[in-house]
Amino acid sequence: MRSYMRRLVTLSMVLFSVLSVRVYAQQATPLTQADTFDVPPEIAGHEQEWPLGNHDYANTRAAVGATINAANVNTLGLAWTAELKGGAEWGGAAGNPLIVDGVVYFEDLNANISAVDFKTGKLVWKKSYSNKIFGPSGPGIGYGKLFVLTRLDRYAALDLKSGDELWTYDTGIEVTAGAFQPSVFDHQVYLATQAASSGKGRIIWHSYKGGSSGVVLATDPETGKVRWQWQVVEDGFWGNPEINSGGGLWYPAAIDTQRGVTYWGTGNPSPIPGLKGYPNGSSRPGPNLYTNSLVALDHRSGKMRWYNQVKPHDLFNLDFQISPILATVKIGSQDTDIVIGAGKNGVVYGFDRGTGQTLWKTPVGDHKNDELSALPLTDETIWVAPGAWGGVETPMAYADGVLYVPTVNLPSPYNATAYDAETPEQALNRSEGGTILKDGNFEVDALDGATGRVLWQQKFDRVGFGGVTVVNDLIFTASLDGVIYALSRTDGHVVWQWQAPGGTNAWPAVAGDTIIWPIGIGPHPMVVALRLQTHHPTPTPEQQRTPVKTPEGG
Amino acid sequence: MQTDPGKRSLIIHIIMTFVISLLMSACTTTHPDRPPNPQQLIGQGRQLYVEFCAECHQVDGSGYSHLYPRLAGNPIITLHDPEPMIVTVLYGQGSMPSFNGKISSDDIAAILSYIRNAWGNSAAAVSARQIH
Repeated sequence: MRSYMRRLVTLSMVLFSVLSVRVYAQQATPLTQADTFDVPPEIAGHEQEWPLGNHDYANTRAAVGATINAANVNTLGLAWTAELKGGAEWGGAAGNPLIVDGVVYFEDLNANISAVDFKTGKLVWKKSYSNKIFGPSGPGIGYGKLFVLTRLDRYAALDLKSGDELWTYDTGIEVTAGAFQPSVFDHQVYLATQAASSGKGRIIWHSYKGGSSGVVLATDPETGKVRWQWQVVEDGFWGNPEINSGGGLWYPAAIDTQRGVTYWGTGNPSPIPGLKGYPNGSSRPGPNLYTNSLVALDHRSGKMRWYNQVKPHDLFNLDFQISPILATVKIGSQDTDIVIGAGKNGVVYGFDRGTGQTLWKTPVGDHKNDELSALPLTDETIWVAPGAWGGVETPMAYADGVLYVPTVNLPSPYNATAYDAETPEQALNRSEGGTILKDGNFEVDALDGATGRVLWQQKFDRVGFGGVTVVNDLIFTASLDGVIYALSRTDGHVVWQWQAPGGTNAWPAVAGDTIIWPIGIGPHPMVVALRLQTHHPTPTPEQQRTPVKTPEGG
Repeated sequence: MQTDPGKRSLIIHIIMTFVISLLMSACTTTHPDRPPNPQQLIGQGRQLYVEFCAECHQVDGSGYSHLYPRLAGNPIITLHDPEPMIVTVLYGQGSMPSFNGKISSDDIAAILSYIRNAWGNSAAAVSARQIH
């Protein structure tokens, strides 16, 4: 009865907040739902804060109740900063803070977790592990706990009030979890692993170690005990577990809180493209299920409801890794529940949420040689776009029937055997190491959610890995060198821009009048809070530059 | 007690022969940390640089924006004493990670030797024994 009353009160609070909020950004998935499933009290009714990695279970990244808009964005200024420890492979931070009950929770890439006051930035508590993790990462919250990565092969639950460690869960060295932001739903914590190993004796990330796979781990928030798990790569690793791996899970799932179904975007198979003696992925014949797929898993049992593989036998690191977005769109005269997926493949898909059938697909950004099924068996280098860090690399956003997609145009060099690479990690490093950042750029595309039709496009002259975030009539994004942009949702034009005191490959949380953004690259990694009507001076490391608008731009 | 001059000369001769033979032995024994030769080191370093460093510093050593420092033509890279480079690679700096324990001393020496002699840079190679 107490549980019923709690849900009733919570539901009333949610309805009140939904009805009372001035709606710019739609409420795609309310944060309290139904009688069947439970939403943690730190999430239920917290729409106006940022309680999940992508704001809500539908992954809309659309702020609710925020007061920042095109008319006042030019009064945004630096309210406070909080120090981040740098020095991991991807700098100091790559991921999303949370904001709950007036406290900001964030994790750096050395697995140090901080809780700071939302208004002042004053430290509430800090839990330091000083273990390099890979990223993207970030905390998950629920039932009085914070769930975090504490090293490459370990998750932990921390007490929300003190940061004290309550339990740990070790993934094992062969299935490393160096990059994931947990989420909590219905008394279950979702954790995941990537295709990597942490090595023996030393906690060092080894990408694409043979026999490693992305694994979904559904765990008990009270104990860390795994209730069910689902491995992306088929048993047997397509015939060669010594070499083959793949299907990393990099981003939080979407959770349909009414159906009790979770939706995951999976990563690529490895080796990419091949090794000495195994050119063009010949160590892994076939489609390499269930890599580069959208997969629907039952929340309670882990049973697969459906899958849709968008890139069988991928040679070019073209993950389908981005957090899927749940939406309801009108197709014909019918309201249709869809799930939208995308990734480094640079193609956005709309699927029927019930069946997985493809409803539409739209290429975004540059494409070159990415449809090749084999590379020449010579020393020749073939440039492929999207490259190793290209395509849709960081989170999308959705509001009012429109999808916003950040896409990186950045090709990478490939060779059939990765120039006679001896190991899968060596093959990966050779394509990434040959990628030329200054030759790349990024764009934001707006797509109609019902059809995938491109509504407008805004291009920038540098690469960017800052995701996109909807705040009322604006979209926020960032370039790698730390220019934060606010774009008009109407046509994508730049309304405002600000040079952060470092570079960023992270994305923000938003509540009320404030944006919290990790700035993790450069000499002094930090988290910055940008707030309306604030005019504190900000160090500017480099002169601001104006984005280049293309003829196609809106 | 007086020592016979002839006997004393013989003792000195024996000691000197022993010392010289020890020195010669030290000079001719191959030490496992000894670099094969600078050109070989630089050649090994190029591939390792692509795999471990070029993601940020870029394959042409040009770096990126104000985030990842340029190595080509950077005077710190070609200092007579490579110690600042070694310390940065081993222990990291700002957002740059440390590579201590991730890459062997031999490989770090090869990478540094390459960086000090690529893209117009010119400085002495670095040996594994200098990596601490």
